[in-house]
Amino acid sequence: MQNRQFSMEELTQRWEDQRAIKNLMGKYANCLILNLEGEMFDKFWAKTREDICLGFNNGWYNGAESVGGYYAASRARNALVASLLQKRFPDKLGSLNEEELYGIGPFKVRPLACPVIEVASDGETAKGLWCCQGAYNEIGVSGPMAYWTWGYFAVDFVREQGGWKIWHLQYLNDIDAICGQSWGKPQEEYPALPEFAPLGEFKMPEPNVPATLREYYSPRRPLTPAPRIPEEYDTFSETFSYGVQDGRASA
Amino acid sequence: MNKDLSLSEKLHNAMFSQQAENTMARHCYMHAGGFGSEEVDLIWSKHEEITWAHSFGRMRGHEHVRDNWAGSLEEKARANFEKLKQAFPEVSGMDARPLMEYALHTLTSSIAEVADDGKTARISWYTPGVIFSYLNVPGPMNPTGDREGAWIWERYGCDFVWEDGECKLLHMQVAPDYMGPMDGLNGAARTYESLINPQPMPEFDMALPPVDDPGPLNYEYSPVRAVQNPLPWPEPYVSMDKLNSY
Repeated sequence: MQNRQFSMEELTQRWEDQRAIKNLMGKYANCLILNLEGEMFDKFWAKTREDICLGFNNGWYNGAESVGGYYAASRARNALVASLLQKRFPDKLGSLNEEELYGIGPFKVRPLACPVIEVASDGETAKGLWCCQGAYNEIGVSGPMAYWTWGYFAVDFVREQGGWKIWHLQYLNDIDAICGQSWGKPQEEYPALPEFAPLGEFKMPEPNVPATLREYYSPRRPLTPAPRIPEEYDTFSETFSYGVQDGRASA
Repeated sequence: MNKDLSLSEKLHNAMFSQQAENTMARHCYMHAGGFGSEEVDLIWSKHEEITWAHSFGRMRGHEHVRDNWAGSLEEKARANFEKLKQAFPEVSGMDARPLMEYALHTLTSSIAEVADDGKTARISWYTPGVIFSYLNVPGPMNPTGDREGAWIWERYGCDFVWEDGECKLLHMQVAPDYMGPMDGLNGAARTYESLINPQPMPEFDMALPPVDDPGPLNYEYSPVRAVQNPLPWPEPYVSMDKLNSY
């Protein structure tokens, strides 16, 4: 891409693409706050690529069935959480129907900051990296629990029908720790509560490509740099991918 | 982005959305420094229809926003400054405003749309922030009034107007989700405990400035409260109207 000259129209389009990608990821983060996992796969993910993938610290959900299954399971877990809260607090939630009840409980903030976005010269793909200093309240077998999450969103995008969609997404954390406890020591779980025992039986689907994409921070972790920063590129085959590569995250 | 716009219109809108992000960032720095009046003069629109809103309600009009949003913060700063001088005489003669408290809101997850007519823009953000001061007032979060910092998790929804060749703030709404002490243990676990074993809360004089549209415009997060979307993200729009406005 060195010395590539763009026309004024192309430059304008490239600016619009960057803004559209920022908007897309802002909406992704908003949907997490609103517990809309049931809509996120259809709304944000590419439909024309077979090699879509969603990576977390412990591995990849690889392919549409696996990625869609992750969001569907997240939605099912949200629904279970809400129903358990309804049973625990009938005076506050007992009158709500299933639709009104859905989403009560979790509160997941994934603020997306420091974006580095590169759009390919051919305009067909793009890459973005964000840092995410977040927090969330989740309901587990110990009841509502607050956590810190500090990490990164590293994403490849593809243009589909004139708009941008997610192709590969890595959400990798350095920290995913119970609030009020040291990040440098083993976490101490709170005691389990009987009213939330069914959550212990609920199993999220495991990544179908298990791998350690990123170790969580500990005082013994070797120096672990941020995910690779997007670089200027002409077409996707000339750059690195945030997708599945031998089970590893891009270095 | 409307594909039918001319190149110059697209360029204007590109610049407008970038300027709007800059304008809001200026707000963050000025608000953290306590410079509310200067902010109203420098980065807010001269339109009479400007609004500032928080969970407790909405203020309408220039005079109201200046006197009761910026003004109330500055008045609180002056009052606190007198107490601060007693504890720390070395602050005498300093500007009282930035000594009141440090309330820094960062800007993340922006979603921006500029109207096809190029006259207005709309952006939503998530804003994780911190707030702390030397002299805390006893309140629900801090009953003892000890020195304490707090995390604040809020949403921003803002409208901007292109005015005399510059981007100015037209409407701002703040929707707090959650606020908790930095030295607290686990806010969610504590909230659950308070739901199971509610304790009587001491009453505090939490005088709020007057508003035109009384709230609540949103509620703080609770594990037994329905999901709220008080500031839906902006959608592409042609011209600002009641459907496309914060």
